[in-house]
Amino acid sequence: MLRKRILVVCGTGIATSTVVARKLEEKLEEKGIDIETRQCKVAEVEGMLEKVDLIVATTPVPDNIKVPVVRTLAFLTGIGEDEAIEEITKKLKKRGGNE
Amino acid sequence: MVFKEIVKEELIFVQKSFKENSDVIKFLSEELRERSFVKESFCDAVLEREKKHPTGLYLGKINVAIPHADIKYVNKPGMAVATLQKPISFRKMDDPTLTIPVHIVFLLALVDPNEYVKFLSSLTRSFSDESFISLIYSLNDTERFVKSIRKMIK
Repeated sequence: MLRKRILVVCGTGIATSTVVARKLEEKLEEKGIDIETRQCKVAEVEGMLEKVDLIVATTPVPDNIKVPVVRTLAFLTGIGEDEAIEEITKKLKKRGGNE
Repeated sequence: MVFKEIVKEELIFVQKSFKENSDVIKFLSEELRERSFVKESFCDAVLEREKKHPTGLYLGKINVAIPHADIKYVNKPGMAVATLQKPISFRKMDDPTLTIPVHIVFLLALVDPNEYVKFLSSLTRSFSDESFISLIYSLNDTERFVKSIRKMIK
């Protein structure tokens, strides 16, 4: 797979999303998946979607977004982490790569 | 800044009783404010944030909440913690339409964004350890509480 871009979204776009982004990088790298993360707060999502393959959010994001969304707290609480990684991997594979 | 200095015994309150989640937040904020950790406006900022972006984390048996506010409301880093004799409802971070019973509230007051991320990362990593969470919830002794948490999140 080519490098994927993941937008990590939380309430304020600072601490929580950074924790999640670092964890995602670590976990997906272990799986041999090359990702790049960006972060934002939920109110900014719509303006941040360019070239984004997947959104990983700790909080609900608007329904009308065209990019696939995985809403999970697994990377914050450590609960259900493997399942979340599996779902993310599946969704990323479906997306193909960035040209 | 080492995490040891963020976790202080004077800011740990065990087996407290409150009616609502805003009461816990007000109580812990006041404790932080009295000791000059946070500004006067901190409490309202946390309450406001909790309304828009709740922080209840469902862990299973023992659940937690991590209310916080922007760093501009904070003077020096600290964390006020309350364990609740009777769990109190918080809305879930990942689905604010649902509420969960929360047993431990960690009110974070941090100043440096990098430190914030490191501390939060370390703290939340401890949440996946069910025996650790059960242990700290059962403690009646703030000294042991501080020791356990310092050991866990160094």
